[in-house]
Amino acid sequence: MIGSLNPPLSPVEAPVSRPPRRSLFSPVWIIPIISALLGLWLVWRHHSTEGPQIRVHFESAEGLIAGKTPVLCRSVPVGTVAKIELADDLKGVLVTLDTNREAARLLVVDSQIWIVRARYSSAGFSGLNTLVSGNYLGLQPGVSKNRRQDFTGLEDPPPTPPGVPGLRFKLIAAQAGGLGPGAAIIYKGITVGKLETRVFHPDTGEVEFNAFIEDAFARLVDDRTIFYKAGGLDLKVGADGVQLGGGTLESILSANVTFTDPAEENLRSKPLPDGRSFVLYAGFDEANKPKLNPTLPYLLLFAGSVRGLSSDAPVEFRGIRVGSVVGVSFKYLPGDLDHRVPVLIKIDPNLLLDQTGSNSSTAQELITESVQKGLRASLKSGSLLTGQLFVDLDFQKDAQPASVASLGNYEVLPTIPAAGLDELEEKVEALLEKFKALPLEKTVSTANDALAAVKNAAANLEKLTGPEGSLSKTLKNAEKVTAELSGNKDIGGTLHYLKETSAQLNTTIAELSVQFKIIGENLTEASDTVKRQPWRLVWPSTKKYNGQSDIAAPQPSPKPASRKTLPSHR
Amino acid sequence: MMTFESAAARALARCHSCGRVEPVDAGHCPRCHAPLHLRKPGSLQRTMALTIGAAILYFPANLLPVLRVESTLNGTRESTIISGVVQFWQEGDYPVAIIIFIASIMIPVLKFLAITMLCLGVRFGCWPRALTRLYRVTDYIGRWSMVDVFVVSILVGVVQLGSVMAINAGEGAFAFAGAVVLTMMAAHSFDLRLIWDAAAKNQRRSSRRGEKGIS
Repeated sequence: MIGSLNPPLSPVEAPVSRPPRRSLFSPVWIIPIISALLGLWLVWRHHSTEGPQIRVHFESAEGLIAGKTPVLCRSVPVGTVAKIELADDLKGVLVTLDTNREAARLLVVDSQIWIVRARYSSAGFSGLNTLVSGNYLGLQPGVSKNRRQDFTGLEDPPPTPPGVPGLRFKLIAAQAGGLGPGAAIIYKGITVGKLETRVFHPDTGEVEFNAFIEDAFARLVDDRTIFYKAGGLDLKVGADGVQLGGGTLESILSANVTFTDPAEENLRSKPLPDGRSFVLYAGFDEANKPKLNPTLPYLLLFAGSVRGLSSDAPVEFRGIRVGSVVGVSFKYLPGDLDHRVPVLIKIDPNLLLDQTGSNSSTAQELITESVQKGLRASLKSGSLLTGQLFVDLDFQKDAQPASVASLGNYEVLPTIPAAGLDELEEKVEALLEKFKALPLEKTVSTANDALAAVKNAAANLEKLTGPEGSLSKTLKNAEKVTAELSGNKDIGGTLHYLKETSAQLNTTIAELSVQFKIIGENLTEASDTVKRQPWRLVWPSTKKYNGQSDIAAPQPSPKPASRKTLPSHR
Repeated sequence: MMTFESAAARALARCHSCGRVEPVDAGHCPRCHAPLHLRKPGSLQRTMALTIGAAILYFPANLLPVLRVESTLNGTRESTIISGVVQFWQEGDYPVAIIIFIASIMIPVLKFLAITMLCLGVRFGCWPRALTRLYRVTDYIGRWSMVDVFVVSILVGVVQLGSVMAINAGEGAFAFAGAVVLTMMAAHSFDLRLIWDAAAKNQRRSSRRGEKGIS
């Protein structure tokens, strides 16, 4: 139908089909290639920021959120927590971290990862920002070159990494005493380092700290440096009075470590090598105490009581400490029939020998020799207040000959009875006896009598001065006399009256003086009593006071009486 | 069957830019001086190339994150298109989830299929009417795929709260935008008249075959 209508159809077919034939490889095919390259580039760009996935084992994933919690290295984000799951053995959690590409070189064998959370240590508060932002993971890069995929997370922030220059050494202390990782090492008030780890060795009973001092201050430490604990309050009671010293509030609240000035005049040219051990003393005084290293054990047997003798009590030779009491116990000598109390002491042999080296004999020989010359051990009282005893070694002039005996595992030093202590006890007893013999009750009753007399006198005095008393009568008479004197001119009568009045006055005054004398006597007696036994003002004897409550009425009575009657009011 | 005589059969070309119909021999449109072609030159090849390019970009577009939310409190979160849909669905925002799903996943895929079918239609010359309708629909809905790209670009521009929160475009967004733009270009470079040319050719061949069979 079309063909018949449109004869020129066939020639037109050619232009329609021409374009595809003309360009088999149109430049438009560059577009898929470009888009493929673009896609590849985008994929590469996306994955180029991704680093390796690592797994960290923690005890608990406290505060970690998969997909959210960042991993920060020096506060720079280097990754994210991707997945948190329980470990296969159910003893912890396995945290998978997606890290950035830059983080790949941080993930080496000695890198350390820990959970940063708000915590309080001896160094103070840390990680308070996590209260707002949530916990995050901290990453401390190591120095190794070997990569690692599986880590074990730390519970606490790690110590200073091994690559940081500075001085690393050990501090050995008998007690941790509030010091822990993070506690500052302070020199002249400036933080120069810190404690990094704290390990307790149960076998030696020592607490070992790993300490680090920054490179700039490392030369301050030399062989003779003494480290001691500082911080807290320092209370000193001495001849100058009481001194209370403390540093900043921070140093009062948290313990820290400080050390003495360098022994040499000039600083060391090079810091000490790492890995030295120093003793950490509990305080400056302890650090400066002569060092005692008692090693030489001796057993002392005392016949009397050793009450007041504690372990660590000093063993002195003429006031110089040479050792310590190790213990007081029958276990040292179980089979003693006399039940003498065994006291084990240890003596520092170095303190007995002079340090010149000229002395060839050992400390043991010295003691044996001294005992033959009369060295004896005895108990002496170190303090009257606390009754603490110490062991005194001294030469006795009239000592019976004795020698160091060997008993069981120990050498036994001869002892003498604790003469000093007995003497003291005797004196104290005598003092108490005297005290007991004081006539306390008698004194008290005398004082009561005196008070009664005073009261009596006061009553008399009132009677005398009262409206109907003789004194007022006299005064009235005197008035009358003066009235009459002024009224009539009869001097003779008046004089007569005056004579009469003066005679009356005389009798009155005589009466008064007698009364006052009694009062005076009673007062003297009372004050004497008070002077000798002042406690009677406070503690009256309840005996023989039945009559006393009668006097207790509020009357003008001397002060002691009112004080004394106070308890009877109750 | 009803057939029409095409303008090309009479060597008449419609100017691409101004729509004037002129004999193709003139070479240039006398009105706007645009070159005259009977059909869009290299239309099928161009369409196929663009579609393949778009399909290549479509994979990274869906596999790579389109949105990266960096927040101080929550760390960095990346989401792909599919994870965004899943997240909206799980949070109960069904309408939003459906819109994103349709605009960003369904429409591009349908577009690939549609353009592929159109190209096949040119090759085999079948269902010209249905394919014409399909082309119209494809051309119309294709632009809605850009919604995702616009959303991302607006978010990136607006949510820059300094240290608290920042939204950045992921690599997937670039790939997605590229894929959508390429599909739109592909749809645009397709010359619908080729379907009809093919259909007419098909018919002629079958009628010729019929004539041969008869003779």
